[in-house]
Amino acid sequence: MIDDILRHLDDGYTVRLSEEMIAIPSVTGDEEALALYVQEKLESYGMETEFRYVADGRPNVYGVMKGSGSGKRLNYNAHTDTVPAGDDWDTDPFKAVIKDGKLYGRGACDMKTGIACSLNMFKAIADSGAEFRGELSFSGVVDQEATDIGAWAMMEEPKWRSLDGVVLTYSYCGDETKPIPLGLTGKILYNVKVKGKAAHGFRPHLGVNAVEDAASIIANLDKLQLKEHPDFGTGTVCTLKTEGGYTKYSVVVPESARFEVNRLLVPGESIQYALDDMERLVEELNLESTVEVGVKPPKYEPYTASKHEPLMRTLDEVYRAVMGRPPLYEHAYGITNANIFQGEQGIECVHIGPQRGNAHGPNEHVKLEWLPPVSEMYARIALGYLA
Amino acid sequence: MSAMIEDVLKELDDGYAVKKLKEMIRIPSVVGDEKELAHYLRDELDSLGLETELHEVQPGRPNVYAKLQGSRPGKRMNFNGHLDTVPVVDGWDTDPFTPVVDGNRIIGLGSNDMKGGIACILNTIRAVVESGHNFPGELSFSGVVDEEAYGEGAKAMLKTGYGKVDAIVLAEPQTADELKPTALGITGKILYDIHVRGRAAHGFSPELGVNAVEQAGVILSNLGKLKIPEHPRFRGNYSTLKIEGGYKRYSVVVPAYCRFEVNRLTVPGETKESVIRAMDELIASLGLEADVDVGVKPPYYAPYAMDEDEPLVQLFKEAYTEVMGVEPVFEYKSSITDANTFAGEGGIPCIHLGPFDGGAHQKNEYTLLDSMPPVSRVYALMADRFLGG
Repeated sequence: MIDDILRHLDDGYTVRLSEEMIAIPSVTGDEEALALYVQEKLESYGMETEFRYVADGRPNVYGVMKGSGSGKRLNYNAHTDTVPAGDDWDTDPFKAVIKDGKLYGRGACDMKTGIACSLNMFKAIADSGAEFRGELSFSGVVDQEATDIGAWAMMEEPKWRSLDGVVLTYSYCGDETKPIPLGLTGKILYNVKVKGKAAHGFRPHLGVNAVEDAASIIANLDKLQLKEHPDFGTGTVCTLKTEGGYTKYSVVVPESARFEVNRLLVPGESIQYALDDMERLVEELNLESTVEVGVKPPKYEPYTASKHEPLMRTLDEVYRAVMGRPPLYEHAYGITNANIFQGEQGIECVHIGPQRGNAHGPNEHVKLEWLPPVSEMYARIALGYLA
Repeated sequence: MSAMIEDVLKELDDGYAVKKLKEMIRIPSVVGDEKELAHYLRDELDSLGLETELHEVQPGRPNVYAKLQGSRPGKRMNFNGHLDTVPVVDGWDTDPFTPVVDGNRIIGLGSNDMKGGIACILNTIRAVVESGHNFPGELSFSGVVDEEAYGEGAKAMLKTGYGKVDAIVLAEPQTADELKPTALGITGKILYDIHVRGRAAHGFSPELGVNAVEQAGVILSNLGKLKIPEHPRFRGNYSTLKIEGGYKRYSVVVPAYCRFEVNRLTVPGETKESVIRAMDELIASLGLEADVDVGVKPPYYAPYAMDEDEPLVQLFKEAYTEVMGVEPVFEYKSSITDANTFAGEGGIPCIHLGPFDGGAHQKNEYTLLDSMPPVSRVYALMADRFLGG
């Protein structure tokens, strides 16, 4: 049966779809046109589709292919948004260009070819008439490059929350460029507000300088207690932004300041732990200001995956069979929708997709040679997992 | 008392001063919009027979100068006022640009800060002219723009001939009593503008970048180590006024740039250069990875301090005591005036005296009508004795 499906895979179709999708800009916030395109494709394979707006003009798109009997339910997940084009491209970022075996364009590797490979698989399964048990589905969610409102909305729906497994068609290709994640760090974005007391700037002793107190906290961030995880090591801490003081010039002791700190969490560090840790640090500094430690979206719990989970085992076998070598794994410093699916919801996840080239940068590209094996792996994972 | 001063005092016309004050309140001159008032004063001083001059400091923002040349060489004294007022604040009970007399009060924007003082100067100058007496040296007037902002008017004046005078009397509402002692010196001020440049990297791998915001945080949390010299009259200090750094649109990137501003109150002996050097030394001692550029932003004001035995101060003390019946009260202050430019930068001895301060910079600003005549008298006595008429 798998051979029948593999015969129906059409790598020319993958390339054509990739080109067409690159020509549909879908920068975060503007995902609707691409979602419509994908919906049309899914319909053409006879799948039952759904369009779910999670914000004005921003739909998630879903498609379901039901098997012949009850069984596990596996979803292929992609995000439909890309980062903005940015500058310094040698070609038009929204026109796919193939040169020297590489396909260039915004979203080439992050992640329109991933979508194309999965569509190729769905088409091949539909065209082959292959039978399987359970359910195969596709989800294209918005906003992954920002705060993931798409993936969070998807997990609001009982039918998606009850999935058995998710294949994230991201550019984790299992070699040294992007080993397969055996878990991901979590993340918290601290939003720290410091309230002091205004006074004339010539009489600082009569006020409490919120900017200076904020700086004391920032200068002491190395006293946060980062826990050590045997596989991940420790998380990281990075101040992303600060602002405080006058908007129109005036010589006043600033009464408020604000800063944001990104912190990657390793398993064993919950969001609550991270909040408590910052509270403790602030307390120890004994500042005169009042400090409010809050969080801003996005926040993600960390998770670890086991190589012995069924979907991870299936991926390992399929990868060896198709690529002729075992995949590399790592406990990854990064955030994907798997933080939500597996970290929050406990659905087993794997990441596999074509190798990335200049993701988020100019001249983003993918090597065409990666598309056929990825489509084949998707098909083999589907059949293997649902078997 | 010389014959001249007796005649001058006789010619003082306090009704004229009040009339001029009312006219000036009716001419809005919120900082930036000083032109109409400058023209008004030029015309008034012209009509008194002085040699006048408009000096465009910035487009549409003229200083106005006028002088009465003595009959023979001698010392030169300038009476100074700033033309601008602060903007209208909320809560006025009357139209800020319509003078309202309520008993002894005259209410209006700039009534004490400092159109009242300028009116007293006009009264004095007019009386000197009307007395018809000769005197040595030069008696002059300067009306400058921008005092309530960056002091650009005074700074421009310092570069002209009017910046070479021997003494300046500023008509600021300092009454030299317990309520509002007059300045014998004022701290200076410099605004550090500090740029921190690090290196961007993905925010998940901060070790690959240099975080400009965090490096700025290290500097700010060490400002306590900034070297500030001791001074017998003053205490210098610092206060961070502003910081900004990091993303504009949310992205997880190690910030490559951060900027912050720190106000330094300086004491005599400190210069722009010494203050910058102190910050450079502090930063060098911190061993930061980021590149730090220590600049300064306007406004800059030099500090100054005079002793009570300074001849101009002595002369003021005598004149004041004679008119008021009590000795003046002096103070070393930290509120900036154009004297920071004239005395601090130009080294010209300065005295502040003006009518009653009824809430400068506040709603319903007023001065007391009966506080104006003695000010005109002190001015006249000072001019007479300084010029040696």
